[in-house]
Amino acid sequence: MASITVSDISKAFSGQPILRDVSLDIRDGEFLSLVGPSGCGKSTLLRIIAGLEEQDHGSVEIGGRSVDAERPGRRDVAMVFQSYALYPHLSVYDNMAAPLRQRSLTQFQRGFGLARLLPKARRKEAEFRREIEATATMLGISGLLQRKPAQLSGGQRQRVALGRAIVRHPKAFLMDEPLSNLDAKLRDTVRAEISALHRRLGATFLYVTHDQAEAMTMSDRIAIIMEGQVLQIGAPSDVYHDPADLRVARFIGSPRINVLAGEIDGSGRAVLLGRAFDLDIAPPAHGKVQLAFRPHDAGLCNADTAQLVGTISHIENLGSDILIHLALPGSEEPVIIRESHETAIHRRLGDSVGLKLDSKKLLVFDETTGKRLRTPAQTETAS
Amino acid sequence: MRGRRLSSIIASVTAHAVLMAGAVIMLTPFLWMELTSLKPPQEIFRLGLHILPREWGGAENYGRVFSDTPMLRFLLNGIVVCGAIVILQILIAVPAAYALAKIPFRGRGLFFALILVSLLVPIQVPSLFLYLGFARAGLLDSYASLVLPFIISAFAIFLLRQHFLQFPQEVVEAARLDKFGEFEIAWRIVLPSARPAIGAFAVFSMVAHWNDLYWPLVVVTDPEMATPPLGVVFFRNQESGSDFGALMAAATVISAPLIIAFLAAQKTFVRGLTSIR
Repeated sequence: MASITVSDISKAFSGQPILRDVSLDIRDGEFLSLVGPSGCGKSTLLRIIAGLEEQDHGSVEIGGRSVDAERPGRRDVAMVFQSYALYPHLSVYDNMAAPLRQRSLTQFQRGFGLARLLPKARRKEAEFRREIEATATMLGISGLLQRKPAQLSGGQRQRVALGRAIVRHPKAFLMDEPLSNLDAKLRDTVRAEISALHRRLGATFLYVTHDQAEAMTMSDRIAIIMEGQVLQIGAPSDVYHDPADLRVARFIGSPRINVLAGEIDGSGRAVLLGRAFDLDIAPPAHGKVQLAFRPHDAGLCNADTAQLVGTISHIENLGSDILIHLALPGSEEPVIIRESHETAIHRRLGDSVGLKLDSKKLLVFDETTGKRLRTPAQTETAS
Repeated sequence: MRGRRLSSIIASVTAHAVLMAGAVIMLTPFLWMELTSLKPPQEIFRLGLHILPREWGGAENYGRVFSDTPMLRFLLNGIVVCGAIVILQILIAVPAAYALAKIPFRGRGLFFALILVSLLVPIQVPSLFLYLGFARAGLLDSYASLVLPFIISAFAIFLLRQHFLQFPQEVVEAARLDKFGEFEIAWRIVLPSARPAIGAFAVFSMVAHWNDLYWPLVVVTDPEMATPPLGVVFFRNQESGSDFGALMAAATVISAPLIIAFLAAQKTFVRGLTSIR
């Protein structure tokens, strides 16, 4: 178990910057997800921490000790790869035994099968066997120990890869999109299993994914990375309800957040889609802004009394809730509103309805930088 | 439907006929060699073509091969020399190919290009320098002079590199995290997947060096050190200028180990060849 500290990491591949001055603090025993669109540099960061890639600038500390000069094998972190990366010619048992043997047998004992029959090596092998069998039982793969990886299903290989990481009790687990090769149903199961595993082991987990739902459901904290920079780090509810950047707000949450371009003046009046609008917020600034709100933070009302009126362009029935897509004149993207089944069941495509905004829940972002402009009330709750 | 089936039968028959014609062309000299080795001298030079021997001279011919020459010694030399060459070639080619395929280093492209270029250089080009070197070192007429020029095989490095390239990089990285050293990764993780390629290469190399006459002729004059083909040359010069039955018997004896080895490893060999991309 150990904390991981990443300071000012930069990395470029053939002149193309992938990471720019990334700093991160992963606490001992924490489950931290690195999430972002593909190509944002999150996997590169993980590989730099593991030592598989060398940073151009910056340093990595594991357990309070700088590991910049250490080879991957000496950093004592385990990695679970997207493709599982099992040794194809070894049985499941030998796959799981490999890290143990590499760490505690001598070169001679490893290189020659017969040397494993010597008493010292045999005692160690018995230890390994206990460890491997206990781990296999925990993961539900004890019946597969003699199989080769090619004879296993995707989910089974995934478990073997986890097992190979667990048996050696590393300082931290690094996981690089471990679920993306599984089908949707299995993914939910394994997701819950990895969360349970984290609670059980109490180890530091660093988890890379492009799936914001995975990050939201599993993590203690989430770091959102885009274009090689960490935009925000925080608990799932923080990044969801209190995003610091418009890109974070857009990336986190499904269905996506609604964004409307507008302008506010000093007195709290806003102009949205060409219509003057009374907003009960003391604006942090004035000028052009982006106003965003979650689909459950706004409602629909009668078209006659509303300031913003649109037509229903699409209805998505999720069973428990219904998503209403509202086309507003002047806005390219439709606004999505989540409504309960009872109220939404009577709505029809093409209906003209009004949009009712809750000014307390509006998130205001600077139009050019995309940075959040917190209203005084929001600053209070955030701090 | 019927038309298509008929045409596919015709295509299949044609293909087989072409392949069989090729096989016959390849095998006829072998067959002729073996039949000749069974004929007595007077029958070999008789006019007219007859395929099967009328009188059996096989026992006498094969008897002469083993009584007049140290044939067993030649075979042993062949096994020692070819075995040493193949083992050393693999010992050197595996780490080299692994480094070229999986370890990025400055100048890797240049090294690989040099290896490709050296594929184009036949042994005849450096043979004078090699001969002078071995002569100066007093190593002529030794196993060392027969083996050492061949232990670095550009072909083996090239072939294995192509195989190793296909090996998933993530598995190599997982091994690094599991504290495998680079040599251990090459031998214990990556190599097992390239076994068919190693088998195919071993057969190629074995055949080439077993049949090689040029280089043994350069560095060996002592019959004690002769490899099988060189032994046959000595045999022809000294004992049997025109005893073709005995010569063919000798040729049959020296090609027999290869044919037996190929038949035994046929499956691996074909798999190794067809898996090269």
